[in-house]
Amino acid sequence: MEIVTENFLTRTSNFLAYSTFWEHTEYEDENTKEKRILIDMSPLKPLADDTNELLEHLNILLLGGTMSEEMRAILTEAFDKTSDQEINDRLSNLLFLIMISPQYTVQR
Amino acid sequence: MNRRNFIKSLLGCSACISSANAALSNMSLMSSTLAQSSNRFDDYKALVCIFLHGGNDSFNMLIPSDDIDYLRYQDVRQNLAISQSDLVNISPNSATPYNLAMPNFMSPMQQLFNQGNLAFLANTGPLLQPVTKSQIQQNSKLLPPQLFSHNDQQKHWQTAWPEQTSLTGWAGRMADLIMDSQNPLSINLSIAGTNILQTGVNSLPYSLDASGVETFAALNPNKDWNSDRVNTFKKLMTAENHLLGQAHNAIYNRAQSNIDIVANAINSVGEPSITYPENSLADQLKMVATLTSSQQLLAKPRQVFFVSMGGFDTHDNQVTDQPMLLQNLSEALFAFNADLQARGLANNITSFTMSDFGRTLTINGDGTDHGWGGHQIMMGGAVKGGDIYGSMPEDFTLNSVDDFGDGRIILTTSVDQYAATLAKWFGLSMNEINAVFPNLTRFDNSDLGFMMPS
Repeated sequence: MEIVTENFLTRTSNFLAYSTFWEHTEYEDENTKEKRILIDMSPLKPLADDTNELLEHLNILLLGGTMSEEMRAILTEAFDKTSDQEINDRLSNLLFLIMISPQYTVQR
Repeated sequence: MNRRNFIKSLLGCSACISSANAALSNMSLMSSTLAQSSNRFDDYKALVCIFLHGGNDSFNMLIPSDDIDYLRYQDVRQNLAISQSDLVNISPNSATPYNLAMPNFMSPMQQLFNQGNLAFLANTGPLLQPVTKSQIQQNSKLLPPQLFSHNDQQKHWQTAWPEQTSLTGWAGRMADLIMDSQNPLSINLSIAGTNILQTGVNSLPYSLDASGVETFAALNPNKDWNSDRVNTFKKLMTAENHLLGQAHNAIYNRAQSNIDIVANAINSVGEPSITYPENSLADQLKMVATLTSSQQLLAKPRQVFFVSMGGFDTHDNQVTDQPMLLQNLSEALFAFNADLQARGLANNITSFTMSDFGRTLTINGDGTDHGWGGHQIMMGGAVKGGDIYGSMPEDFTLNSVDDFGDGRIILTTSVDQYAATLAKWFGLSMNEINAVFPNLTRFDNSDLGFMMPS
């Protein structure tokens, strides 16, 4: 917890916001392509029709299978509520929420 | 379980209980001290640490001006010597071994010195204990660990505890003693990133930059389009049962509230009435002046600010680089002082420099290498200005009693004494000062006398 300072949380949250919302494969900039690490959204898209399946995939990928039922319910509600939005925006938002969560931020 | 293990576990347990009791009573003692500490100051004071990263060649700031001593200086500094015709004289109140001058590119600082707003502490730095040349020649263990190494000496300056791998700095330890536990904002504010100086056991520095606070881009509760996301995030925090995760939540909530508090405070203060020069240090000091002017909103009777300036590691190209650095430093300090005077805060704020080390008096061709002792600058209305404290080396001759080799000057005053003098003005009791500076009692004088009595 020593490195989880106020500034660390603000900067990490902002770094993740920029990475998830504006720096993924769909918004790839041709000129800077080779120099940047981008989030690849393509494996997530086919899963988006089934919130359960999508969350289970992200649970393994980002949380090592530790997602609680309560967390799953909160994320399901949040993801389903965005069903009228663009798929990239929905996935970005979900990734951002998981990666700023205390469950993801603090390793235990 | 055999008998021996049974007894062992019993002993372990009782030790557990008694130490838990001791910890609890310590905590209640601490919380009562903390509750008092919020109201113990009825005035406002701030310290501003200006860290000159790289090791400032401060033997080119205070230069012997008489012919004989200037020739000794010129002899060792060769083509890096500031020309005698480019020097501006100063007249310190106390006697010095020779008359002194400053380079003309530092004339704003010379003016501050002559006006009594600025003083120097000669030949200081981290020490384990007072030493002489013959003592360290006989016993190298008397030297601070990793002498001449940038990061180690920077750490020693900031922790004032060279023999320990200390995780706290002296301003952080001061904050631990005097902070108001009810106020979420730290006493320690940094405009130049996280640093060990301001890190305590219970208190961490709060960072912002010269343009203000960094806000949460995608979690700003004041923006409508974030509201669903912010709500979901709050639910995720509520769903967190783990102690460490809950600690994370507390820090997040504090970050959000501090952003509002500090941003409001900054917005409440008008633009300065004086113009700052365009350099990074000036930008940082301008932000410090803004923050010190917003005390009614920040409600911090004591604050420590950290700003910094880099580029002082002049191994090369010193003839061109150093005048630029010292000119920027002088102009930034001059503007900051004028701004604080205009805001009526000059007596409340004391600025002081620290730097890795001084540099060798000898040159390496077009630069200087890592040295030891160096001079530091104190500025403010509460500083007894126009004077030089500590001891200047007797002269600039190599292999003198002051020279540890190649003109690396042996320290005559320690960081502990320098910082303790500042801490006393800041309002710490002698017991607190000794707790913050564990090695202070090794030196004969804990108050160097450069601050006005408070």
